[in-house]
Amino acid sequence: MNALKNGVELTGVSKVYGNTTAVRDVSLAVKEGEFLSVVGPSGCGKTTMLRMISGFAVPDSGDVRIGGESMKGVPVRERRVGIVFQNYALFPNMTAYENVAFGMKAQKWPKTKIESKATALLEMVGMGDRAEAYPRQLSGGQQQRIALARALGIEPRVLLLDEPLSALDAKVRNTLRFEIKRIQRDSGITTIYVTHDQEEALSISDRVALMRGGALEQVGTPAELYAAPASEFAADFIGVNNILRGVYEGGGRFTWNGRVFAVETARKPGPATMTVRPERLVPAGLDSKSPNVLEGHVVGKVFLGPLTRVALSVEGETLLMDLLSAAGESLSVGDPLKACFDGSDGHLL
Amino acid sequence: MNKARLYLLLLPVTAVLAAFLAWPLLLVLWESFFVAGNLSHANYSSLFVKNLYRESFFTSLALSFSTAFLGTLIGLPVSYAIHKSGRHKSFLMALTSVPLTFSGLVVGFAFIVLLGTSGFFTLLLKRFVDINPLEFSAFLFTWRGLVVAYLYFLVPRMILTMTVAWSNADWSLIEAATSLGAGRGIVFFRVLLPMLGPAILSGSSLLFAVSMGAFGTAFALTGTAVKILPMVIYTQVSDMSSDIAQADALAIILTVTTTLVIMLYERTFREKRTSA
Repeated sequence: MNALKNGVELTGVSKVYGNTTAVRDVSLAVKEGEFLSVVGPSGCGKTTMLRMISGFAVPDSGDVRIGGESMKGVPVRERRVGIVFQNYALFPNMTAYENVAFGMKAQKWPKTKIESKATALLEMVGMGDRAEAYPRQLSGGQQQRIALARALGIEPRVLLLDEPLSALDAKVRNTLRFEIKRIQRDSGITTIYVTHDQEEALSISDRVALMRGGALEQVGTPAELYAAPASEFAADFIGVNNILRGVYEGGGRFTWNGRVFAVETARKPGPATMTVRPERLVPAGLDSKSPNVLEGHVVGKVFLGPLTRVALSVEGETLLMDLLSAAGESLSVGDPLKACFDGSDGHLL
Repeated sequence: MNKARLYLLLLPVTAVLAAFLAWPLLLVLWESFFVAGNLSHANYSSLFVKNLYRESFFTSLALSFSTAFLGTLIGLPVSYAIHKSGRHKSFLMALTSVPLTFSGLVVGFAFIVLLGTSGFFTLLLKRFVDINPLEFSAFLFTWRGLVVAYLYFLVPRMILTMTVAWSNADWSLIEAATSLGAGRGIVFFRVLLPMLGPAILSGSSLLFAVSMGAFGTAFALTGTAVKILPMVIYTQVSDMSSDIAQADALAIILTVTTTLVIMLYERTFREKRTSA
């Protein structure tokens, strides 16, 4: 329990609204100082989970612990959780400085301590020169910086962020994403970050928890989730994937639409799904000895900058393949194309 | 569309306002400065000399401030309850609007029928408790009784204003404040009130203005017995001893006072906004 001094622990947490189960038997431990993202499609229960940690929702069963201490019956304002909202939720009648100082004042900190802390926080989020500005005079990105400083002001045990970047435009979103990560790393605060954007989650988290229908689908490091999705849903939700439904014959042989591929797996024979990432598909040269060949023709392509994503029709199914744009340039719709992949890149579910 | 065209579109309403608001008002203002054909401020100074006018002025103010204050006090929680009533909301909103469709006279008579000397509730109460109907209903025919009757059609106005405000309210502000450790008091005074303040102010100033000028209900209930400004003006115009110029002056005072109070409200509201 000492390792969880300021960690968060959920054990068998469920929440039912009317006749829909928003969160179903979720157990999850977030270590002190860890940055955990919760991702999932809208309505998967990620926000409800966050609200149970903050105390705005009460679990119907199970327990939420912060720093090893059960939060049963502990009101929101005594939990010391910092929350950053999607819509910033800054107090419009207060300046940036007053917003940041609000929590410290409410907790009756000594005046000099409030002043130095609030100033330092504004400095930290890069808003030191806008201390006297009112929220409506600030851009969305600036407001969210203030909101972050305000949440950190009370020296929370846990920082909860609920889709903090989804109201911002792409450019600001990218800079602020890494700012949040930097501030989190510097302050070493336990952070739970809710987002529907899997790319965002992969790029800043120590671990990612994928939710679906109120339950945890998979929890792991970004690399684990990307390389070894535990389910078809995970394979499809995290990143872009090709999903091939076939049969595992055993002995490293996977058949799909009459083709046989050599794969590496420890699973038992039976109907199986293989996933292979688009960037793991490469054009097969004439001298290619790979047994895993997909023969088809180009049905479309999308220029993505450094990469060009090619849609390949194989056996009536469409597969995606990422080529370096230099290589993809010469391809046009209708061209025949042979792709192959390494057996270790075919991930069997 | 250019500006000239825009002004052209405003022409009809400007004409109507000029003919039916500005011109009569100017006329009233002009006439109010004449006594027996001579220019004079007597009609205004009489406010400080004549007990009736001074009394009616202050009774009107007391009545209007009371209704604005009580209407706000009652309307706030009720509007919150309606806002939170879920699927019954539209029905409750419709029900709330019903009193607004009655003319003031109807409201006045309704109160006589219900709470008058031989009113329904008066007689009902008399059955169970030993009360004197005359004493009991006497209250209704004073300015305090008017407050009660006015609230009947003013509270709905407050509710309608506030229901909009509640549904535009940003509840995440309350949550943010709570998570930062703020207790109920701080949340109420530092977050909720500043958030709803403008709506509360505009709602209560509306109540004030409406009760300053309301006539029908008071007329039905008390005739000309309770001296409020609209009633005194009415007496000056209709009685045998009619004094149009005096009525004009009182009308101007009524208009100016109401406008002033509303402007004051507005200013507090705007200052809150800019400092906010």
